[in-house]
Amino acid sequence: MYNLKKGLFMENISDLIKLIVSSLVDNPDEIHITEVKGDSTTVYELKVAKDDLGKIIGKQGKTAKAIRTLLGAAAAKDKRRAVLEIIE
Amino acid sequence: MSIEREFEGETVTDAAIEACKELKISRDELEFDVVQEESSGVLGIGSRKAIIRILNKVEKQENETDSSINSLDDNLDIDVQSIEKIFKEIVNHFIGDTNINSELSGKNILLNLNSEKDLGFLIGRKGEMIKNLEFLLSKISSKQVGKSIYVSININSYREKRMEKLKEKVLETINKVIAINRPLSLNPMNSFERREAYLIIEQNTEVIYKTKEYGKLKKITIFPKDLQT
Repeated sequence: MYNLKKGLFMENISDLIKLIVSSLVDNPDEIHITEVKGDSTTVYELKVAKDDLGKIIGKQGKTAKAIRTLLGAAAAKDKRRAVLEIIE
Repeated sequence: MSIEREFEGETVTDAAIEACKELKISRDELEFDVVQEESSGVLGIGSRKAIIRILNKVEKQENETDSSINSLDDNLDIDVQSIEKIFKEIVNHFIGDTNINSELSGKNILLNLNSEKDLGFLIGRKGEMIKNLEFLLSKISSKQVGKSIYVSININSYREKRMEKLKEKVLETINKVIAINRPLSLNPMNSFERREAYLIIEQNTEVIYKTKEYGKLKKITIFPKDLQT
């Protein structure tokens, strides 16, 4: 029961990433998010089109930082950690 | 509508400056033909003034800017709805359905969120989450409209409470400075918060302030007046 709930929640985080990222990039079709689950940490690997990489990272990583903070808060609700990795 | 006018000056540049003043336009907008170039002559004999001819297009340009403002307004009306929707969806990931209302003034959008639930995590430590959300939403909306838009978020009137606290803190510091007759610094603040602080400090004639860079933010130091003379 508990695991099921957790599973549902993690899916939601992927959705959250997708929602934010897709409204920032030019090619929303080329977004790929994969989850790698650990004991207490989940790593989200985000792949976007090469031209959109800069938009996701932002000036001095400002956008990436903002997305990560948002994820952190979303995961903290479930007492888990979330890490966002942007893959080139 | 175009009017042709001529201007005179010691040099072509002088004439152009004169024309700018007269027509109230910037140098970049000025288009002119040189009718006669300046000539200093020999010992003042045979000197000529520069004459330029202006094609006055001011009126036309004003109309253009008017129409562009109107079209921006139209865009924004549509935009507020979609921004509200995105914000709603993000918030729904944290807490179920919430009522959000949005206000629009110029290029600023204010999103009001009210709920009886605990929204502390949406505010974050020292409003960190709010700032991040504002940043992301501003970016998203600017992308949609193609012009820069600023989104502010108010959660359970957090803004008002924070301002209240800030004002208290500033007043307290001013009183302390006067009491101990020594300068004291406030925490680093952003421009919006500093503005509020300045307004309060300026009301008090016994103190003055100085501002210093502190990373991305700036730090205000309050001095007693007689110490600084």
